[in-house]
Amino acid sequence: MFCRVLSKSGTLAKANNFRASFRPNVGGGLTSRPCSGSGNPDGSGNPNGSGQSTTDGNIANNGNNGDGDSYEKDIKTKILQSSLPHVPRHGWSRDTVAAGAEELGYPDTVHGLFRDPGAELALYFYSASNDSLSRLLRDGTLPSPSAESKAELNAFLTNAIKTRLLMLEPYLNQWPQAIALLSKPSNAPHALSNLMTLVNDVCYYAGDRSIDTRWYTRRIGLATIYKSSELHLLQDRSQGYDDTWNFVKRAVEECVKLDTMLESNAQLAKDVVTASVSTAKNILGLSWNR
Amino acid sequence: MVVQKMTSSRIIFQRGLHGANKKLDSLIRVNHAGELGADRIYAGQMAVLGNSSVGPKIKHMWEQEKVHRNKFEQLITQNRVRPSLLFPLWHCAGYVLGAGTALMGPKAAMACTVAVETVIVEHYNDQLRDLMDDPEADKELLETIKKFRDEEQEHHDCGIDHGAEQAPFYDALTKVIKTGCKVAIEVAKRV
Repeated sequence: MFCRVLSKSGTLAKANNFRASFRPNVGGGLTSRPCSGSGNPDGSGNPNGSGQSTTDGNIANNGNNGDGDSYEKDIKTKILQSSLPHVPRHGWSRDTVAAGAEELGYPDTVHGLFRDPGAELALYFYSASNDSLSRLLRDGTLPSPSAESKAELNAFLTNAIKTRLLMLEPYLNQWPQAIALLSKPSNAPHALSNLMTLVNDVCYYAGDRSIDTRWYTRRIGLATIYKSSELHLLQDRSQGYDDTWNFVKRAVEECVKLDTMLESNAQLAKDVVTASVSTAKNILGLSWNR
Repeated sequence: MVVQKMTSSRIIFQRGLHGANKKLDSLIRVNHAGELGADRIYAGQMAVLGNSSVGPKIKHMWEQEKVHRNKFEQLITQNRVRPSLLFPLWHCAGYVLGAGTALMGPKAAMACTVAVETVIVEHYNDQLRDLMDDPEADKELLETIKKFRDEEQEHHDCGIDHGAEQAPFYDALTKVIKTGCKVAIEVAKRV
């Protein structure tokens, strides 16, 4: 964005200087980037394919800031990525992001890029973990259950939640801080959306193809299980977190049972209504039946 | 100045790996809700007018709406679209609308059909105009909506043929139903 803006106002040289001061020491797509702003952004080191397509859409819509946006996003992703190993030392804070930036050769003031560095780092970690779980599910490392077997479904859900929770393990001591940051009103919508992405993926690969309110009840149920297991894990002092895994197992079993019950009850309710309507019709002697 | 611009930037944010397309999401969601409603309207009409002279005609249209509904249900699962949260509302409202107008007589039922189909045809035409910006992007969806639009238009014409315009309070009735449908469409696009 800033590249275009500056070149418009005729201070391209300044922009070059600025860019140069931002240039990281390590190799990568960023350094080989043309600075004119007219170069096409395709394939220049954007780490995620799906993000690329949306960025392209932006460029088509408003050519002025699409390029800069993806460039800025690249930098931010890289910084956050290299900040993660520093979390156990500094927590989810500005210092961590500064340390990560320094590692890449950026000045440590670059944390000014982030509105709320700690929270953005936590959100980045959240969605990056979601993506790696999603990859595991897609590649079949966690095989989807068959449609009929409830036991297999239980095992799948437990396993998926367990895998995802174990991704928190390196940062377990700092995770309460992240939870606090993510529940701030300004961050909560993003955190919630991340959680929904997570449960949506798990539900999809668990074979859920519902198209009515069950779509919602299942996801909300799974999100509740995930969130409460997360809290359980934070206080778990047992060997290998066995308490938590037992908790997850029980919660999943109950939830699946509840879902089955709701389904059969809905059918029962429908039958009762149909039966009472036709009884009433017979009593009243009406026969406008098909 | 530059840094100022960058600090106000948005949080890096992803909607998962499968790359949901917001526009397509809302398009499929609203169409599914619409076809569900239509299916339920005809079900309501059939419950009341099933044995009357217009019965077979309604039955024929109902069958077509069922095909439409199945198609969008299939698209929902294919594209991992979130179904409308108000599913039970559309389910009940459709049936009540169908049965209610049918109780006012076959002509009122046809007036209801005409009103609903007018709005749906308009709505499909809007979508087609959007999709035609890039006809190669999703050819199958484009063809599907085109086909459905034509069938809805047939239902509309069939309603007119069966004396919809002679229904009591035709103008007021259709206006109310049309407004209701338009509101429902806008709501279903979002939730």
